[in-house]
Amino acid sequence: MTDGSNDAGVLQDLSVLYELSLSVGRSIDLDENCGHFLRTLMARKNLDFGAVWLRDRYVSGAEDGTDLVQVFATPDFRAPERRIPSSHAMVHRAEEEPIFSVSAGGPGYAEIATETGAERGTYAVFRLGHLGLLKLYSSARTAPFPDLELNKLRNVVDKFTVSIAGCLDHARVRAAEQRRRELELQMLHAQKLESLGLLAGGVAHDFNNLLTAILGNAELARMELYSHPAQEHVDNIVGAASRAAELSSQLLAYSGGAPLVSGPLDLNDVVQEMVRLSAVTMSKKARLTCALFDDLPPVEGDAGQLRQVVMNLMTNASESLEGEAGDVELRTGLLSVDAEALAQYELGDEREPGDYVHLDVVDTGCGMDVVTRQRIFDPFFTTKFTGRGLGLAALLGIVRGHGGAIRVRSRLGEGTRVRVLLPVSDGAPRAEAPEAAAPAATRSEGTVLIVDDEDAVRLLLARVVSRMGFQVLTARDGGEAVEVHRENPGCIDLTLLDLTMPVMSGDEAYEVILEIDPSARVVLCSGYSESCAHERFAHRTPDAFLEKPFRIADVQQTIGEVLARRRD
Amino acid sequence: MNDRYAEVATPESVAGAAAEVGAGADDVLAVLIAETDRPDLDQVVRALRRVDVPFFGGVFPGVVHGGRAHDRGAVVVRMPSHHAPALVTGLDREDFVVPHLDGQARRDPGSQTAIVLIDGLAANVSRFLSEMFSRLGNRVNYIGGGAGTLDLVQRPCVFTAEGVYQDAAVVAVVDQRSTLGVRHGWSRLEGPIVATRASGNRIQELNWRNAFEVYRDALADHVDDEITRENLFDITKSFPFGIHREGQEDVVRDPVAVGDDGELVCVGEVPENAVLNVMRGDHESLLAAAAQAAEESLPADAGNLRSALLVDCVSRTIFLGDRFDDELAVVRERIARLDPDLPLWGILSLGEISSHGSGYVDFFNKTIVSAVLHDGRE
Repeated sequence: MTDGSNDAGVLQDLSVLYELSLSVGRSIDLDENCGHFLRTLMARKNLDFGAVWLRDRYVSGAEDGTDLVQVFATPDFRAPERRIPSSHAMVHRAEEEPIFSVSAGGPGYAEIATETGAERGTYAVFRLGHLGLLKLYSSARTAPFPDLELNKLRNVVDKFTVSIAGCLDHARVRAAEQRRRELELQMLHAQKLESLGLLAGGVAHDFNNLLTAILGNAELARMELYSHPAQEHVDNIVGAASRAAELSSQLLAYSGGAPLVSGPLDLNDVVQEMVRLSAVTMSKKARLTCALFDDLPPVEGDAGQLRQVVMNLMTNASESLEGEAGDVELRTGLLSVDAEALAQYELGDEREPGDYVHLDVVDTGCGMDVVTRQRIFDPFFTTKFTGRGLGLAALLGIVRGHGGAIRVRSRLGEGTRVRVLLPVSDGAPRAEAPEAAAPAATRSEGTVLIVDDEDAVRLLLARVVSRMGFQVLTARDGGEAVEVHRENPGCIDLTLLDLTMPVMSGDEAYEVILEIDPSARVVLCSGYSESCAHERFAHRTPDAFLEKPFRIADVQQTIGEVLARRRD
Repeated sequence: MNDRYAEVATPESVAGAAAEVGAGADDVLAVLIAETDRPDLDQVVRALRRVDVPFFGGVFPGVVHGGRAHDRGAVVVRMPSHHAPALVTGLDREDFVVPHLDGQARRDPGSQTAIVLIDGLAANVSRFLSEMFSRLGNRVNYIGGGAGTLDLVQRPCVFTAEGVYQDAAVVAVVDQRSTLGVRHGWSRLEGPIVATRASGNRIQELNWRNAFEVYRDALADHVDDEITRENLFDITKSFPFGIHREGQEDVVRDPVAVGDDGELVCVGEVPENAVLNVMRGDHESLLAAAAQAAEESLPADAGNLRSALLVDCVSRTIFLGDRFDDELAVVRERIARLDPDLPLWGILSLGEISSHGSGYVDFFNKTIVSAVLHDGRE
């Protein structure tokens, strides 16, 4: 700028200040606002570098953020340092002198010259109120900026300070709005999953009742059609119904309502078992490796369901190789996870920070694009020609049922990394007991009350139990069951009790039956999971649980076991 | 020899010149084509690909070789470079991307020179230069110019082995030091005038009024003929705009056309609210500036001298007329003081690019940029 001693000089100064003044506040975005002003200032004043430093508390919102953070610099290559403490010499000096200039060789220059290639030249520093600093550099100047020149810029820099405050306010409001929108989306997503879970659970329950009747009657028919030409057709019915039962089971798993036989177990054992079985399901070209953490604490879980999780992830990883050679790696370990990390997981918002056992399945396969990644847990979403799209949805349900969380990281062409978190169990892992041999379906004596609102199921159970040699009584709901018990005190050896019924539900009826006959033996039947069903019993739980759809052998075995315990 | 001139620019002659300079794997070829021959550039590129050396180039109103200007033919120059030229396209859009050029520049500042050729009629030239400077910084010196043709009709005009492009730029970092001189010789005549509405290289309003009308009124006392849309270019060749830059000559902006609604189309951006002055020059001031630029480009302590590169605005040739030969003569004379045999090559451009010492890289109009390329002293 000029010394302002003549008209031309004043006009020149006014011209520069006019342009600078109008370059301030041209955008509410901090970066753009700084860019407009600094580029204009540098062009007119022939400067080599300009930067804006703000106190961290105004940038990140951290209350104790007294450091200064560089929020804008041009040209960017000159600025290797992005953060300086409030104790920095430049900050100290700016607190004492709101505007100052220093040249190479002058006192304090070395501390201030943090930019690349600024061994020579001159700096000017303006304090931006309480917000931070504006730092300017000229390589051509060998003497400090004259006070008059700095003073001419004072008002326009003050205006720039006010505009920065406006940008910061705007950024805060925008961040809050963004956070609110994210929370809304998360809530909508959770509500959607919850609704789908309820729907899936309800459908599975009703479906199981129907399948119970189909499977049971088909099995009865098969017994009666021994060596008959129609037996093959009945076998086909049993086979198809069994596959339908598997599908129903996956729907239940998605809803988080699959039967859970929970206890402490070693996840490494589950992984190793699945690796041994993997030859059948994995691509021949997949190189499978394991890195299992030696001192893995136990997790609380259902071995069968966790097997399904591991197998499902291994199968997906193998299929992602698309028949080409590639790597699939399984890793286990122990992680301490905080809330911020949990936020990156599906179901993470339902979990507490703490120690989790993790299972990683990493592949070098085809990966997924963003759209696919966002939908993989949606039921019925699939990228395969075959399959119903319930695998990962069911997996999510199992993880939910285990109090865990899951994260999928993938890019198209760059493989996929899935991490499952499971809460650490307090108990010691138990060895799996060998399956008890089923008691022989011998003929028995006694009276069994069958309670179910579904006529087909009730009729089927009556036939099965009758064939076992029992006297059969039936009831269509809980209210009728209570009446039958009242009319036959001490005469009923066992009650097969459905859970969900009109008039009086199974759990309500159970309480009344126990009042009438405290020694009553009750087997609960339900299309929901055992754990879900048991949640509805406040004090005493039934003697056994029969999950629908059941096979005739299951019914015979359960009745045999419960009555045998009574005799013992 | 590191350079060749083909008197007529055809795909065959250009490829032949490229083959004759004997470039190797660690070289890059600059291919500068004068507009008159109008060869099919796609075919030129196809022919050059067969030479199997990285190349970059453009079409310009004229080229300089042997210290003389030519409005036809092509100049091919071999220069050492370890990297293929970087192409940036889409300069007509706001979201164009300048690649990371970090790997191209060495750490020791000034040991290399970035030669930048750009579509001279592209809209975002200054922003491109600013982003390029943010990536390469002051580790290299910059020299280059705007490609295009004198009819000011925008068409594909810069090329690399990837093809021929409009609204594009190409950056070749060569392993030679450079000493630069930048001057124009224009001085303020009328002003200040504020560009109260402007966007990119178009000025819609001056002093809150129709830009063309204000420009016309400002010159009413200085030209004999009435200024019309038709004779605008004849007028502006003598009266460009200048934008203040403290400590240096004003940066010149050349209005070259007027739109239907009276907007002035310039070569290079004019920031909104920039305070402008109408400039004037005369033959002597321009020739003096050319001599000064050439003198400033003479290195004080050069090692092996390689060549002298001249980027001279084509509008100076129009303004100087017959005396443009004098401009080249003064440059030749100054360069010859250093080495009488130093090859002098270059372009007559639509806009000139240069850095100032270790400072900003800028886009000029009506300016002469002289560079002496050398190996320097370590």
